[in-house]
Amino acid sequence: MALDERLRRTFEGAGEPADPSGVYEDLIRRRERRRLARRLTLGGVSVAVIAACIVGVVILSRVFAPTEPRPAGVGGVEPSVQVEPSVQPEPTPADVPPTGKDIGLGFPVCDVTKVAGLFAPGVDGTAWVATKTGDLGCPSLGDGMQVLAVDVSGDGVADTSFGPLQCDPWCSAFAAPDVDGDGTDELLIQNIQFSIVGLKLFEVQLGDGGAALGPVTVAPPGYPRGGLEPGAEPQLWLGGDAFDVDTLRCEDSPEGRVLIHTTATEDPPDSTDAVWRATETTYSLNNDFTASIVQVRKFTEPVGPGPPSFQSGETLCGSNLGPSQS
Amino acid sequence: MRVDEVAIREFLHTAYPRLVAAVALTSGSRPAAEDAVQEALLRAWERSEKGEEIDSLEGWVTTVALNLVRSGLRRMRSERRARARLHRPALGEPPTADRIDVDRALAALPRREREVAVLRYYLQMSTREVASALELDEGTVKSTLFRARAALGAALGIGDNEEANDRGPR
Repeated sequence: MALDERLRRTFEGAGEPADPSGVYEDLIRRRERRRLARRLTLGGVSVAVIAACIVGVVILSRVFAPTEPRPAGVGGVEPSVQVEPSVQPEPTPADVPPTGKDIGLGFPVCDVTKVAGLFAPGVDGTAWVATKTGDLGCPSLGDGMQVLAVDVSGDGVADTSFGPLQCDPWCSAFAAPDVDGDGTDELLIQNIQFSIVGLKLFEVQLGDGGAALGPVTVAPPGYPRGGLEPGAEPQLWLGGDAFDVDTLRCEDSPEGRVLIHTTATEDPPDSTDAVWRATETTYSLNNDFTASIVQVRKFTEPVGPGPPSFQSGETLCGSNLGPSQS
Repeated sequence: MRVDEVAIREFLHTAYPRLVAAVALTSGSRPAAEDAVQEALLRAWERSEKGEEIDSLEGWVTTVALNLVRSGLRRMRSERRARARLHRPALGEPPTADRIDVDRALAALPRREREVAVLRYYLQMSTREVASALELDEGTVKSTLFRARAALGAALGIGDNEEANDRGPR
């Protein structure tokens, strides 16, 4: 058909075939790196499993250890294991009925993740990321409209919300750190679900009209050379693979608390002479839903047996980010 | 088939150049396309070494490369790595007029229509092969192709009749 043939010819002119020279050698190098990373991972997992077994044996031996005889009428032995409360998000899709639940948004929601935080001074609040329930019930995760809602007053009902969130492929509540050190928490929302965590920073502000919620954007002049134009929402990352790592940490300075995002690559990737080539971006939160970039610093440091200097923050401004790495 | 050095080298000299170009057309990113195709090829190699049977290396790599490149994160990170590795600017030769027109037209399509159109019109796959590569049924491919075809024809200024044919592309 005429149109099909025209499209074929147009596409033929548009495609730019790649040069295969050197690709086989690249594949060999990539395969070797992959094998090395797997061996390292396997070693780490083995150590973790052994450690977990030892801890389990110790805990079980304490729980089931013979106890001193008790006087009649006194209750049994309380298990000595206590689960620490965590501010990690608790995905609860399985708990949510298909019709959704009410968190005060005026419509039912599902696929709810939540994180606790102080969004007003001294008041325990909650932030939720949730999907608006459709006419046919809960849409598949990532298909529906996702919103962020915050209970500032501590009554379990949302006081303010923001949406729709831009997610790849879905968003979840991640942490509520106090990024600016003012005694109330900001919000980190995971907007990219991948082997490393993609995060966006949100701020809650209290005023005469109630609570306001919005994403934090880059204040002028920004750092356009690094892709941080004024008005852009900084994309933060946390985590890494064998040779790339992204960290987030807070530091207190005389000018106030700042948030530092470091992205680093091990170069060369599998050498004893490797160094971390790092770029560190320092943000200072303002009072108008913006963050000023106060410093962008590039540096290198040798790759050693321990974590790099910029990975020291296993907690982010006091907000628990999971198991301690120390 | 067994994926070994001979098969890999043959693939690189036959299917690889056009497959990278096709994935670049669907994703809009050449470094991401190269990274995804190489990653898919490596996975095929590793699976074959473990004894897994791969019927068609080209089909398998196409499917996996498209799956890989759909991740925006992968695209961003692979571009960053590619720029760091390559001793040349991220942008190579200036794109041709055809490339600019096609890029614009494809960018306006939904992802699935974009992929179907590129596999059909650039890699010249049959609807059955497109269905297999994208893990869709043939009916879906046909209806998707119908919509993509109409949208591309309008966007590129080419029609399905002689009059439009005579005008030629913009």
